[in-house]
Amino acid sequence: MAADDANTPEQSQEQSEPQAQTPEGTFGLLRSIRGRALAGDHAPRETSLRVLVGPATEDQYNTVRPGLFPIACWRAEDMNFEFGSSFPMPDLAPGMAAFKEIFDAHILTKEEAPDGATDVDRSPPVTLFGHADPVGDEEYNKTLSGHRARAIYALLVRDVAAWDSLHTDAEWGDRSCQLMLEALGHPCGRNDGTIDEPTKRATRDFQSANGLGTSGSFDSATRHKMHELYMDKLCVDATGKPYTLDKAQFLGKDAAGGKACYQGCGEFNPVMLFSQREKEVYDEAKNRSERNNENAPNRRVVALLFRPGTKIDATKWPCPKATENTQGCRKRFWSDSTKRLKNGDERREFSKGDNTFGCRFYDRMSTGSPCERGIEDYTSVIALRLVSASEETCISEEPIRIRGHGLDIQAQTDENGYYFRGPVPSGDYEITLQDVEVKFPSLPFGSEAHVLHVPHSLLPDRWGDGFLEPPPGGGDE
Amino acid sequence: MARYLVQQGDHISKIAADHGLRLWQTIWDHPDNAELKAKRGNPNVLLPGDELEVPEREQRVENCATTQRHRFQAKTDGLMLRVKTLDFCNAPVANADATLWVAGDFDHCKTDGEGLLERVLPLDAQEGRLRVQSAAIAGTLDVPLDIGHLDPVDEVTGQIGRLNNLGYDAGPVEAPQDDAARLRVKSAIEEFQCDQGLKVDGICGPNTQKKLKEAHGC
Repeated sequence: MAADDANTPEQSQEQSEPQAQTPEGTFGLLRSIRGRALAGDHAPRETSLRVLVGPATEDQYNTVRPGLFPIACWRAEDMNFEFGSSFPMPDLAPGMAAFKEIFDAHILTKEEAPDGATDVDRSPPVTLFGHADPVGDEEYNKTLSGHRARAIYALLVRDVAAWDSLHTDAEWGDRSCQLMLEALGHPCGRNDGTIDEPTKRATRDFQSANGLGTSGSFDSATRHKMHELYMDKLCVDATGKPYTLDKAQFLGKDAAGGKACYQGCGEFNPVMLFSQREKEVYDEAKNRSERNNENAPNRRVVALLFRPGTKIDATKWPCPKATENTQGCRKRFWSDSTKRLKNGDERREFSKGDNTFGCRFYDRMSTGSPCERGIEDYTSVIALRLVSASEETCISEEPIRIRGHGLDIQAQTDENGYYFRGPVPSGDYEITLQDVEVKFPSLPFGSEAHVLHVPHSLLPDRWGDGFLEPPPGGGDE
Repeated sequence: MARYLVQQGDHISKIAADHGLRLWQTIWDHPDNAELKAKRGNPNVLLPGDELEVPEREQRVENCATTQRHRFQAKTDGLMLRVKTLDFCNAPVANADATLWVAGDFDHCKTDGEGLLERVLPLDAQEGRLRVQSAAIAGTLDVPLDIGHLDPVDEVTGQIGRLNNLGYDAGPVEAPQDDAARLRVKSAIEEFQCDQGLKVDGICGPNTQKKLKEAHGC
């Protein structure tokens, strides 16, 4: 027996992961909200932790198979896309930084990874799901949601040709070119798709700056260059530096025409379903824009991240390709999917524990996901604690100044070195400690500072229990 | 003859050993246990609460010459622990480095071409641990084993145990206490039915039970 084998089996225990127990069940913790996107960790599955077996007197055996479940998620909300289109808006940039953060957080270090693991092996495989709202034709919705997922996939792997074809197939239109030109420093002065003299001038500026002649029209070569440069503007980390993923860093490894890399769920997995009465009112022509606003949370792109090293056979992945019709989706539907997707007497919401997903496969993947709640379902709170270099004593009653997102707070830590404040806008803040300026989350010594995102249902009933200060301008709810 | 009430973690070989019986068949093949034998099929997968008639030990007489030295060897059947490891796509994790602990003792080995590991099981073994290392399962699978704790497949706890082992995440191995737990079991059953090409209704009836037993191996 080698010395390192002498340890008892009990010594290798699972690490406990962060999670939150809410009245609706166990959810993982949200790590970040940036722009109109959020990202977080899934709650771990406890059932994989013990295996019950029967001994064998004949040829019986027991089977152990690890379940295929995601460890983390990211969600880009509807406002990151043009309405009814798969064109990613310039505002998606902070959202892509949130993606980079959650992706990086789950990359294994060289020490953690098995010997000989490549960079790709050490990163968490990703798959993207587009979702539409339940308005309109099912096949149209699947196509649109598939286009959105493909647009994000192509953005991450810098597949400019895929954007070129989306531009045509998904009818991104001249408006998208105006938006891109503006983001690239050649404003047209308008982004309604009307080609006027200033638009032509901006186009010519862009063309001559990139050696594309001076035609002033959005020809395919011009669009291609725009896509290429705009992707680098959009897909950036929190410091604004462009980043890309390798196609092999997706679950399907680009082996089967995008299968298991990106897919559209259409309207089959809404996070909110109107009541029957609401639906009738909203379906009236005059209420359509309000209906579309209310339905916005349903229109989203979700990325699911798996344990680094997870390998699957893409051809056996249950979801049909983004380009295929809804037939393949139905095979994985809940046996009672019709009831689940039906408008009921009351409005139903996934975040409140209602069963609104028609696809069982996706529903199972989303269990414990903090990303199937919307940004509006979270309250962001600044939480920090100051401790001395030895990490043994807290720094109590220490003056601090926190600045950022329109806030300029002067306060001090409590007797235990803590300071909490919420709700605050999500994002990064600057903290000043006795004229030392530091940026979240790096504080001196063993101190910690976080912007926590807490589901409303977990917040204390009232503010000011010595824990959370009243927000400026009164309570949040 | 004694009546024995099966406890969690029991299996026939262990019960036989506890009663000083050399062969588990002495209990299992006893006419008074015929009904349970027919119901459970597998003598190693019993439900707590099952009742067994345990026959008394019988004396065996051997005639031997008094001036010679004799060697008696009792025949016992080997009790085995067999575990098959599958990857995410249900393919066997073949020829992978593995360690199987049973009752504080361990064995470094490799899974065979079918992903199987096996070793002789001491009769009183209740706890073990399995560790399999392979890129096919994203690194290391490391799980404690509760030997003899798997319930029969016609019990909901037996179904949950098998579904969990097969990676379907059916929840805690107990009769579901609330709607959320019932839904989790239903979800796992439906997904299993879908994968097996069975009718998807979320009810683990005889057909699904049969497939579940087949897929799990016992």
